[in-house]
Order: sequence, then C-alpha cells, then structure tokens
Amino acid sequence: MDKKKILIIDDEFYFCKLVKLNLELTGEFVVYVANNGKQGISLARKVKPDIILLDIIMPGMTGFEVLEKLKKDKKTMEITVAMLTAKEDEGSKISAARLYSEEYIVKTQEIGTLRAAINDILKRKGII
Amino acid sequence: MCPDQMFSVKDVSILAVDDETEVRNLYDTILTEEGYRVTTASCGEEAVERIKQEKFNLLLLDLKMPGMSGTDVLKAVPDRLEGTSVIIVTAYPSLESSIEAIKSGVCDYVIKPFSPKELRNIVRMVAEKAKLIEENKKKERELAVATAAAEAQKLKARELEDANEKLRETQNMLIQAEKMRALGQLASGVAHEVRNPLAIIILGINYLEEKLPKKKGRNPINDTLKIIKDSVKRADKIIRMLYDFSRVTELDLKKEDINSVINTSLALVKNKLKLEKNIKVSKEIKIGLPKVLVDKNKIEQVFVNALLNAVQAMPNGGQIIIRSYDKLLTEPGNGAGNRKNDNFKVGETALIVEIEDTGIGISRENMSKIFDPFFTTKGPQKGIGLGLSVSKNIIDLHRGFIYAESEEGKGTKIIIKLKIAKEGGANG
Repeated sequence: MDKKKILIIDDEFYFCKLVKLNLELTGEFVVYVANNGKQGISLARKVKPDIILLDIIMPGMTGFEVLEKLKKDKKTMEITVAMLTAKEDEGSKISAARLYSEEYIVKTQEIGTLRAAINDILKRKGII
Repeated sequence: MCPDQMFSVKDVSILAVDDETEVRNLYDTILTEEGYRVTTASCGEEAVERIKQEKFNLLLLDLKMPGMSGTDVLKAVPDRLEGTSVIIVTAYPSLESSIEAIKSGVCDYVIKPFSPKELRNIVRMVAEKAKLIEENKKKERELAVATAAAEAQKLKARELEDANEKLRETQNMLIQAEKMRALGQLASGVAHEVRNPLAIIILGINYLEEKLPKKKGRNPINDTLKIIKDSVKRADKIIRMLYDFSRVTELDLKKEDINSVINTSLALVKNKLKLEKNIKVSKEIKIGLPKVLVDKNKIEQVFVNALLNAVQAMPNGGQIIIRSYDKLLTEPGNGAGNRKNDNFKVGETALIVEIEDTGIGISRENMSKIFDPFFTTKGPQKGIGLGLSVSKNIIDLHRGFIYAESEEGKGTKIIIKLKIAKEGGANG
C-alpha cells in the first residue's frame, strides 16, 4: 500500500516535528512540514498531499487565508484540508467550514486520536 | 347661590329690582356714583328677562312686588343666578320670608326704608365677602393644581427612579458581560499559547511510548509517562473550563416551567446517580408554579452542577432533596432589598429552587468563598473550582440570586431565586 502523503502547515516547529515522527513511525504516512502559509501553499502545489493539516494562528498568512488560497487554486482545490488548531471557538469552526475545510481538530489530542481522524477522512474521500 | 365670580368693585354689575320708581332711581344714583354698573327692573318678570340676558354679580331684589315676587324670581332662574350675590330688600320682613329667602341662597337682607349709607355699606360688604370667597376658592384651585403638579412630579420622579434602576441593572449586566468577554479573549489567547506546548508534550510522550522497550505490567517508565500524560490532560481541561466559564455572556431566554427544567437536569445526572447506590434522590416540587424567563440549558447547567456537587459531598451516601416553590419576599437580604445589587424587591414573589444534601457540609470559613472562581475543597483531581462560580455567573445574568446554607457534618443547601416571567410577551 502506498504511503499516504500528509502536509502539516503550522508555525510550531516542535509540534510539526513530533506529528511527523509519530505518523511516520506507523509506516502508513509520509509527512511534509511547512512552518508558514506561503511555504505550505507552495509545498501543497508541488507535493499534492492526500490531506493538509492546517493551523489557524500563524505569523504572516493566517490559516484561513491559506485555506482560501488553496481552495481557489486549481492545483490544490481538491485536496482535503483539516484544521488542526488550539482555537476552540464556534466562530473559528464556522469560518473554517465556510471556506470548505473538511475537518476541525482541536489540538492536545493523542497521536492515536489524530490518526483515527486522518483515517476517517481518507476513508470518506475514498483514498483508502 | 354664593358667588364664584371674582368681584372687583368697579367692575361689579348689579341688577336692582323694585316696583317703586323712586327706589330704583335711588339705587341707580347711589350705586352708579360708587362705580358699580347698575341695571334696573321694575317687576319680577322683567328681572327674569334681564337675568336671562346678562350675568350679574349682585342682585338687589324687592321681595314683595305685583306679579312675580322676589322669591319667585329666585326660583325661576336658579341656574342663571349661580355665582350671583343676592340681597333681598323689603319693607315687610317676616320670619317665614326670611327663612325662605335664605333657603334660596340669599346673601343678605336690607329693610326699607334704608339710608344711602346703609345701602352702600351692605352692597360693599356683600361684594367684598364675595371677593374673599372667590379669592379663597381661587387659592384652593391653585393649591389643587400645585398638589396635582407635585403629585405628577412625584410620579415622574418615581418613573425616573424606576428607569434609572433598570438602566443600572442593564449597565451591571453589560459590565458583567464585558468582563466575561475580556476573560473569554484572555482564555482564548491562553488556550492557544498553552495548548501548543501541551500538544507537543503529549505527542512527545506518544513517541516515547512507541520507542521505549515495552515492558509488561507496571514499571516506573510507563508510570511516569502516564503521570505526565494525565497532568497534561488536566491542564487542558482547565483551559477548556476557563474557556467555558468565559463563554457565559449571552442568554437565550424563553418562558419555561421550572419543574420541567428540574426533571431534565435529573435525567442528565441519572447515570451518575445510578452509580452511587447509597444516594437517594427525592423531589418536593410545587405543581402549577408560574413560568420563569430563563435560558433552559444554562439553568440546567446550574442544577446539574449543584446535583453533582451534592453527590461528591456524600462519599458514604445520603439523601438529595430538590424542591421548587414560589415565595413572597417579605424581608430584605439574600438578593432582596433596595441596594444596588439586589435583583429582587421586598414584596416581590420569587420562584425558588433548593438542592439539599445530607453530606459533609461546608465550614464557616469556606462559606464566603464557595462562589469564587477557582475555589475548591475537592482536591486537584476532582475539580478546579469553577462550577459554582459559573453557576453564580449564570444566575447573575438571569438577575436572580444564588446562595448556600450549610452546616459541617449535616449537609448543604443551595438556594436559587429566579424572577417570575411577566404575563404575556412574545416568548409564551
């Protein structure tokens, strides 16, 4: 089975590193990391990941701005985007849904829960 | 027939009625000289006609005349003589005629023959008396107007006071809501800043769990990782509760039957209560209570929180009683009175819900702190001390009152006073 490609866009360096370490440890995923929005969009166009895990609060471009650009770009508009953020308010959840984000995951989840959420999305999308 | 017109000597109009020409001439001469406006009539019939045509201030009336007598004149046009002072003039005074004339509202009496001085004096006296009476009446009228104005002003002041009170209440609610919004922003900021490192710690532990050599059963490494993970989860729970605490700023108010809210709350804690086999729950609810204007979900949160606290206060079992009733507040205190923060007036009827337990109770020194944020007696594993504080915030937003009565070793009663919904309104 091909490894599924995950792109994580988050300015928290260590968070990205540990998501990568944990997910790749399973042997099911290959994880790409971008620590800002611009780099994330560029990597998304280049790598065409199966899922993008996108933070909201980042310096420079916010997660919502990144999401809007991704969903307007023909090369990236089909990619499933799950928000992975520390923000838990209803307003952010609604904004993300309006911009066609497919999932909203609040941070401080164990890797097992995160993996389950990723697999659910992949199944829903018929990728696995 | 006493006068209600204002007399001013030079403006006094007089009708002098007498069948004798000399007497009429005498009236005319003397009284005109005095400054009065004088009209004369030679008989009762003419007098009636004159009275119908013109309003006089004073009537000098001969009692005995051919045809209509003076008394007949008074009886013929009583309405037209309202406010006219009547002086009877007669050569033949009798007790009967005097009584009859007085009954007809006559002000004074002159007996013929009279001297000019006598006539002048009596007319002046009657005119002045009428003036005094009128002035008195005017003052009474002014007083009535002033009293009415003062009453109106008092009413206005009361209305203003009520409006001011409402404004103050709204202002307090806004301040409270603003505080909560500020806290919400702070909580949201803290959540973001703290959750990221917590997420890193959790993922770090997850990685170590996979990488470290797996040993069966309990061992110090696994125990340590579990302790770290549990602590991170506790910290995350605190952030979530702080966030929930700050979110109580707006209410979705509807008219609700409080007994139905109590039943839903009990259903929500049913499973928890089932686990606690030694705890009995009983209801003492009053049927047919007036409705309350509340946010059902928020009030349920308050009841559930009180019920769960009651369960935790009875580790060895006991009884929970939940009561509902309405009560006329006859004394100030516990949210009733005229102080700025009193949401109830003395004399107002409030709806009351009590949740009582037979648990360990609260010490006197802790009683004043139980509604403070982050105050807890349960220890770090069981609570972070926001439950009752959130409840207080919710009840404050409803303009109600929540307080506790407790005795160490005997139990605690949480008392919640709510406003009764006004009749009618859109939320029926």
